[in-house]
Parts: sequence; C-alpha cells; structure tokens
Amino acid sequence: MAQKILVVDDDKDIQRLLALRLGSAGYETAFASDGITAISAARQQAPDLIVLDLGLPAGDGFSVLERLQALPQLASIPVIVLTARESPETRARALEAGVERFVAKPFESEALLEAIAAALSA
Amino acid sequence: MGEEPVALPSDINREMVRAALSGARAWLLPVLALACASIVTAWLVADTPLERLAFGGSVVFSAAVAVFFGLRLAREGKRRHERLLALAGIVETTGDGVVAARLDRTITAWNSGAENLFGYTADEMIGGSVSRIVPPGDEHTLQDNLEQMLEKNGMHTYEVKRLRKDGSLVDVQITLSPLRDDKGQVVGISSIIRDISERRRLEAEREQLLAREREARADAEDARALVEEQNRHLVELDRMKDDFVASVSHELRTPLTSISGYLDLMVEEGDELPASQRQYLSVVRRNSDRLLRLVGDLLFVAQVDAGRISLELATVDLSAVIAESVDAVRPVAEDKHIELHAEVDLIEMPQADGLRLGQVLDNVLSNAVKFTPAEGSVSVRAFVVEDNAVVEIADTGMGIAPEDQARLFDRFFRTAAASHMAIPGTGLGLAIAKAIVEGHDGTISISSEPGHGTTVRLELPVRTAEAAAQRYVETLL
Repeated sequence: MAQKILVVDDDKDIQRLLALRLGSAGYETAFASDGITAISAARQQAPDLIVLDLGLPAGDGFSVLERLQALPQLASIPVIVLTARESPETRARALEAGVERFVAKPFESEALLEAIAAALSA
Repeated sequence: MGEEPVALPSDINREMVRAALSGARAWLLPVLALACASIVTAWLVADTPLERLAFGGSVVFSAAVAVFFGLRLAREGKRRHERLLALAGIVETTGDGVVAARLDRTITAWNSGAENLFGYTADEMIGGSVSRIVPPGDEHTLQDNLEQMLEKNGMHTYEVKRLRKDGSLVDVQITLSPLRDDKGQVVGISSIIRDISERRRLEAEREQLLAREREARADAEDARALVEEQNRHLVELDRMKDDFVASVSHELRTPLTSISGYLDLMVEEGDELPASQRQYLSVVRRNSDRLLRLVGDLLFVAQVDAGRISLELATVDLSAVIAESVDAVRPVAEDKHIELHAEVDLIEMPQADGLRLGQVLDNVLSNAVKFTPAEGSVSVRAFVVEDNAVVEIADTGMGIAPEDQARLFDRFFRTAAASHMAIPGTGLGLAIAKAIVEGHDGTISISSEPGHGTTVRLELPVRTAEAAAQRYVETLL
C-alpha cells in the first residue's frame, strides 16, 4: 500500500505541484490549508508523514507542531518543514521542535523526495 | 571692661605711669600719716628719753609694717594691672571686632578689629548706640539674641548681616557674652564679631558649583534618557525592518516556488516543444534563479544588519571551493573570450563555512568577468602566508575610479561606470562578501588602477581553534 503524505500549505499552486511530484514518486497525498484543518486532517487521514509549511493562516506551523506533539496518536508522525521562511533561527527552532528535516522554498524536487524518503525510513 | 572704657594701645604708656602712681599712693599715704601721727603723739605724750625711745621704736615698727603691707599691695596692684594690660593687648590685636555695650546698647568699647570691620573709629562709636551698625529693619536681631544669651546665661553665637559706615552690608558671626558687676549682676554685653563674608562667598560659590553640577547631571540624565528612547525606537525600527524583510522574502519566495517548480515540470515534459520555446523557457529559468538569488541576498544583508549572520563551520577544502567558483564563471568568460587562470595551492580551512565562502568567490569572480572587456584575462591565485590563506583575484578590466573605491563595500553602491555601461548588478555582492569574510575573522581589500585592472585580495585565517588557543597562550607567556 502506498504511503500517505499530508501536505499542509495554504498555497493551492504549491499543493498541486506537490500532488504532481509526490504522486509521480508513488505517494498518496492529502491536503490541508491552515493550522486548524491540519490537525483534524492528521487525525482522520493518519498519514505516514506530514509536509508542513510554517506560514499558515489560523495558527502558524510552530503551533501546529506543538499540537501534534501534544496528541499521543499524532506525536510519532514524522514532520518535514517546507517553508519560504528560511533563516538560521527558524531552522534551529524547527529542528528543536522535533522536525525530521527542514527544506527551504523554492525546493528542488529531488531534494524534497530525498528528505521524505529519509524521514520515512528513520 | 563694663562701666569703664577699655584701655587702648595709645593709652598704654600713660596707664602704666598712672598705675605706678596709684600703687605708690596705696602704701605711701598711710605710712606717712602713721609716721606723722606717731611723732606728734610721741612728742606730746613722752616725758622721758626712755618713753621717747619706746614711742620712736613703735613708730619705726609701725612704719616697717606699713612699708611691708604697702609694698605687697603695690605688687599685687601692678600684677593685676599687667594682667589687664595683657588682656587689653589681646583684645586690641585680634583681627575680630570686639565691642562692649551696656544693656541700653550704649557702646563702651570698640577695638581696632571693629574699626577695620565697620569703618567707624572708637571715638565715633564709644558712647553711641549699637543700632548704628544694624541694617534698617533688622533691629529685632539685637533684642532676640540678647534674650537668647540671657536665657543660656552664657555665650551665644549667631550669624547675621551688619551695616558698615560706607553703607555696605557685611556677613558676620557674633559671639555674645554677659558682662557682670562685682555682685554678678549682668550690666552689659561683650560681642566678638568675626567677618565671615569670605566664608559666605566660598559657600555661595560651592552652592553655585553644586547647583551647576546638579544641572549638568540633570542634563546628562536627560540626554541619556533621550538616547535610550532613541535606542528603543531604533531597536523597534530594526525589528520592524527585519520582520518586513523576512515577510517580503517569504512573500517573494512563495510565488518563486511555484514558478520554478512548474518550470521544472515543463522542461521535463517539454521534449516535444519547439526549440525556440525551450530557449524561452531557459530565459525564464535563468531570470527566476536570478530573482531568487536577489531575495536571498536581501535576506542575508538584513541578517548581517541584525548581527545574526551565522556560519556553519566545518573543515573546508578552500581549493575545491575556488575551483567550483571558477567553473561557474567559465561559460561567461568563454563567451567573452576572457582567459581564466588559476594557480591555487591546496588549502584546508579547519573552521569555515564552505557555502558562504563559495558565495564570496562567486561574487568577486563574477564582478571580475563582468568588468573585464573581451580578450582580457582574469587570474586567481591562492596560497598560504603564515596563518592566513590569501586569495587574489586579478582582472585586466576597466578598473575603479579612485573616488568610487572607498564606497565599494557599501550596500547597493554601484560605480558610475557600471551604471553607465548598464552592467547588471544590485550593488550587494561586495557588501555580502565583506560580511562573510569578516564573519571568518578575515579581511577583504581592493586595489585598482583605472584602465588597467583590479585586484581583490582576501585574507582568511586558517588556524584551528586549538592553534588559536595555543597562540593565545604563547602571547600570554
């Protein structure tokens, strides 16, 4: 069975781009566009991995991370941050919050797929 | 003192004569009277030579007794007088004013100190009223302080203003003490008056200095508060600018993510596209990369401003970093028929950020190629001198006008020649290079001769942290 990836990003174009890239790499995808639906989608979809944008409406990526960590059934899902907010601080903060990999936008699809594969096999 | 005016120096000799005479009178008159009385009585009463002898003997004896006591009295009188004279001398020669007055304020003594202090002579003042040296309206000070002295039944000191003969006021300290008669009744007052105007002046000066100091402190405090306020404001502005740059860069990168992501898809699936369209796509690709670099540069500059440039330190093969940067500019150099030379020693840097150093070399090399006309050359040399890796990038380009050289590392600065010749660039490359080199404790410098070329020299310390510590210890030793 294909592994499922939940993409949390408020940009529809990027959602579609990821759907294409992840789909052709053999993953199943689900989407959420803000911080609140991210948590409910994670509960319902039970994804194998979450690709999380940091700049989100209704609670930014860090608060989504916090809530994921606080829920026992969701805390173990590996998270990859995919963000345009690239700075040494956010990178350090995200890794401290338990994120597996940090990928900056714009991304090379190979680099993202590599990070996803590494996080899933970890 | 008291009822009689005090003797003053001019009278002293006269007084001594008078004292001697009064001392003599004390014993001479009784002796003479007694002797005369004895002789008269002897002659009237005595009949026989024996009786006369007895009377004569008693006369001599009486005279001897009288002389003895008389001499003693005279000596005592003289001593008392000498004491008085000594006191009068002290009173006279003291710099302070010494004044005696009856309870009705009539002055009975006025020494030379008082003469100097107030400008009135003793002749002018003795017999006059103390009120003469009291400024109008201050008469109550006389009564008030007299009462306080009587209350204390002893010395009383106070400070007050008094009036001089010339109408000026003088600050004085007055010590009052009661003068008593034989029965101990207070019959007058003695005052010792000291001029304290100099002290007052110094006090006023000190007060003024203190006030000025307080003022200066207040000014400094105000200035400090202002600077603090401005600093807070600047910090706030800085934070706002950081937020702004961060959010702008985020806002720019998000659409760039879609542009480059979909471009990639298009290029991958675009085998059947005509060659012309594939070329258009490569132009889009190149420009989207350029835009992305610009966003990255802006964000980096903002981080440098905020003092947040962070380097990921590791062992770096500097020669490999240089080779990569040279390879990156090679296509452009070849297009322009520019010769690229590299003479690079193998240099390993134990503590450096390879990506950032690559950025420095990219910026400097792309400048060199951009500003060198066709058929010119660009050469890179790298070698180690003592503890420093030295990288020199020399071109045979147009050079930099002397007036522009000082501003080369200012961000967004572009030389007039670069603008004039429409050579593309943002003016951020060298500012970023400088920040990264300084982040490595290194230096970057430029020497240039207009028309002949430019050389950029980087010096980067290659010693390890341990070597640096060792060096530090050696310096201490």
